[in-house]
Amino acid sequence: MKNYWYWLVSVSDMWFDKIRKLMEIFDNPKDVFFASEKELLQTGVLNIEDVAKIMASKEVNLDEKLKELEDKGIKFTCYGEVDYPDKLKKYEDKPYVLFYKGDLPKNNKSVAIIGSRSCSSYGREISENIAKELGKVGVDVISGMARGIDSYAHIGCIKGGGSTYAVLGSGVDVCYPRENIGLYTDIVTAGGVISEYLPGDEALAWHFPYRNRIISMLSDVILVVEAKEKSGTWITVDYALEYGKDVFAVPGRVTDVLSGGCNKLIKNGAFPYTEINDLMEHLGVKKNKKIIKNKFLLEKDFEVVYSLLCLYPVGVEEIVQKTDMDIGKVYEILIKLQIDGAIEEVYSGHYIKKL
Amino acid sequence: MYSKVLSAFIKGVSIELVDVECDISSGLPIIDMVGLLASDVKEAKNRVRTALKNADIFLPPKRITINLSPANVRKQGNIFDLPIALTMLASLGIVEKGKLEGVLVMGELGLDGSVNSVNGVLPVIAEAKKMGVKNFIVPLNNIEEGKLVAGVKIAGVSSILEAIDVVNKDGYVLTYGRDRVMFGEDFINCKDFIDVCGQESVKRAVMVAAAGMHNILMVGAPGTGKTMIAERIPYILPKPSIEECLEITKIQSIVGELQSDGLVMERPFRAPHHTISKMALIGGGNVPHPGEITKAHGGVLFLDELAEFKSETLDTLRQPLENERVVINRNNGNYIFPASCMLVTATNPCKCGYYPDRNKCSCSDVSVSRYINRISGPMLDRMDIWIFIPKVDMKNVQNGKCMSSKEMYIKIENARKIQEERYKDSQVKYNGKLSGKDVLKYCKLGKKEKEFLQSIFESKGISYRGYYKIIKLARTIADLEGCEEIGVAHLAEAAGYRNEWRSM
Repeated sequence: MKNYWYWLVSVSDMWFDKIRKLMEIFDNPKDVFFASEKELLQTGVLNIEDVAKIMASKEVNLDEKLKELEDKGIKFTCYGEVDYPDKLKKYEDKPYVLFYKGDLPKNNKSVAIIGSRSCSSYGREISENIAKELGKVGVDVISGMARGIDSYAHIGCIKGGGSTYAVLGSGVDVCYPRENIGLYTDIVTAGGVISEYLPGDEALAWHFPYRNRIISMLSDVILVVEAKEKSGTWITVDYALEYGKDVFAVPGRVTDVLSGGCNKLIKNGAFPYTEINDLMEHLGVKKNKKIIKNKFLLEKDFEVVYSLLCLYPVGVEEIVQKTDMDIGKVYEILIKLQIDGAIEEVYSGHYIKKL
Repeated sequence: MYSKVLSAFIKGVSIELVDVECDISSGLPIIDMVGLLASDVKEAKNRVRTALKNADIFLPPKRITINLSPANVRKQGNIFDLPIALTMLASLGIVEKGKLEGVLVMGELGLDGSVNSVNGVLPVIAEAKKMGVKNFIVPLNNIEEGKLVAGVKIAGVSSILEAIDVVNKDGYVLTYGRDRVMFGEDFINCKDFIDVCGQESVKRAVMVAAAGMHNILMVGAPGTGKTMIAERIPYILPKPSIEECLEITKIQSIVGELQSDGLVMERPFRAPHHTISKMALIGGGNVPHPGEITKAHGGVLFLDELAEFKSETLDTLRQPLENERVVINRNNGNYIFPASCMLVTATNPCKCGYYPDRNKCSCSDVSVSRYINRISGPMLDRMDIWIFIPKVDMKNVQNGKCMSSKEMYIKIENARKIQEERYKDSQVKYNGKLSGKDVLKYCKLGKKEKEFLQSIFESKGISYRGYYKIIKLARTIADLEGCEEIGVAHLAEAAGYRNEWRSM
């Protein structure tokens, strides 16, 4: 059956919706394979061109194609196989076929961390930190390996030693965005990269909404870190609500455009995220031992400067103005704090506290 | 009858003397001009003939031969009209031949016999004086320029008839030059840093850059005051000495941009547009002409929107910045232009300009780093100071201290004096120009300081070159504070200015 599934999805222009309609009539891809042209046309799902493509594709040597996949290290599974993720089974619009590198998610608790591609330092720190804490207690982190929040969620989880899974909108062997190639290989080792698209497929815009539904299906809780009021993130959230998942949102300053979506979500009834234990309790995961906050024993001057910093970047100018210290002294303190890893310079002359 | 007068042409920023000879002999009536002349010099024939006619001087129907020697160098320019006219008159006996010899003449003729102003009077007189020329005739409009050179006899003429009188009646005046420049002590008329409020840390960085002649890169959103800050830098640099003033005036005289009559006493501020060509920036052309970097000599070269410049254009700046001069090779010789200026650059942080303000900017981190990386690595590496210009907070504008240009000027001048004293036996003049070897020689670090620098080196992952740059910058900061030893705070501040752009 696995081979027939692979055959069906590899027919060109055979989108998910068409397959879904075919499955209502034929029940399995094997029947489609052996159906006559007339039968296929009678379904009303396919037009003459589609049928011609199906007929032409039967001549391709499937075994050879499967061998090629194996050589590339790409595994694949389909509905009905043992390794098909349990979490997906109950949904009507589940993907029929999944290609993956690394592993598929097990039945662990899992959280999807999603958000804007262009995020602020606040979003970056928060998503990385949450993912790290989740990774430490063995909760899987699911995301889409996009720029911004997605990437930092994967990075955080890997740092925490957890398993993280990226669901792609391209073929599983296509790294999009390209600059994430380092992260891509890390995810393959620390978890897996998953896609319902054929290996080699480009990342096309219309793939992503479908991709988002899989992210939703795979996770128990959806956490939105930063998103504008208009964002692709809402597609994932909509699916989550449809599937009955709980949605958490990280509140932000009311003036921040990037937090606008999250704040609105909270207003509409999403769980506000305030600390990691909220999430842990909700998931029913045993809390990590008391989380030790970065607490440094600081001299008075250091304390003064450190207390001015937060997750939003603060400039040297502002610190000098507020402390009335000498500029050289301020730089000295900032650099020493940086060396200790207590703060980070996010861009020239602007600093944030590390969580 | 044969006669001869001196003139000169400008080659780069130096000059070459030219003998203008004339001979009138019997033959078919014609004016013949020889001596490897460019077409603008050849045209002088018609201007001279008509100008003389309109001044009621009639040329006899004879063969007139003009030669400009040395004949193997191509001559260009409009300054040969008057010397040609005067030799012709000397050959005709209207001008006393003996009195014309050894006089350097320059000027363009109008058809009515008037003498128009020309470029490059100051450098010609200054250089020719060194070659032993004593008497000069220049256009009246250029006389103030000429008077800047002391100890020569000079006459300004407005028409060909006046020129005849000057030669025949020795109508020269002796110049006394300017041994001293009087500067206004006040900063009333200049663009003052007191107008730049709430940007004290940026002003501090600019002050450090000016004190040690470090190149500076300002990064900031549109409207944060990058241009405003750059425009004010020439006024906080130490006032130019008389030699520097003469240099600046000479260059402006050559390029024909001399605004006032006399000496230029302000440091130039050049802000070429980012679409500028390579040749316009460093100089060039068939007959090499100074570029923007030479026009900024002794002052500030401001490159706004640095990331928008073509990278090949910017890369041509690398050598001139290092050597403080531009060398252009042509088959008739090398042209050397001075190019010692402070490089001030500015750029937006990203394409839309508002990064990291996420309320306005939705550029991805990659596109941000891609934008800044449009500037070539070696160019970015030459920027000793990177300073981010924050959005001005109105609260800070209203209260808090605000440094004025005068305060900054005094500090910078002191720091420059310290450097002058330190480098009196050396080729180097400023901390910013120290080489790696010199850094070890002049910038000694204590044990505590070395350890501190080592820890920055390890944790921030700066390059080896960056390591030396931090020491150089720290030296300047220490000089500004009047400290003999480089302290930890100085190093920390210097390291704060040397942020290599954060990438993901």
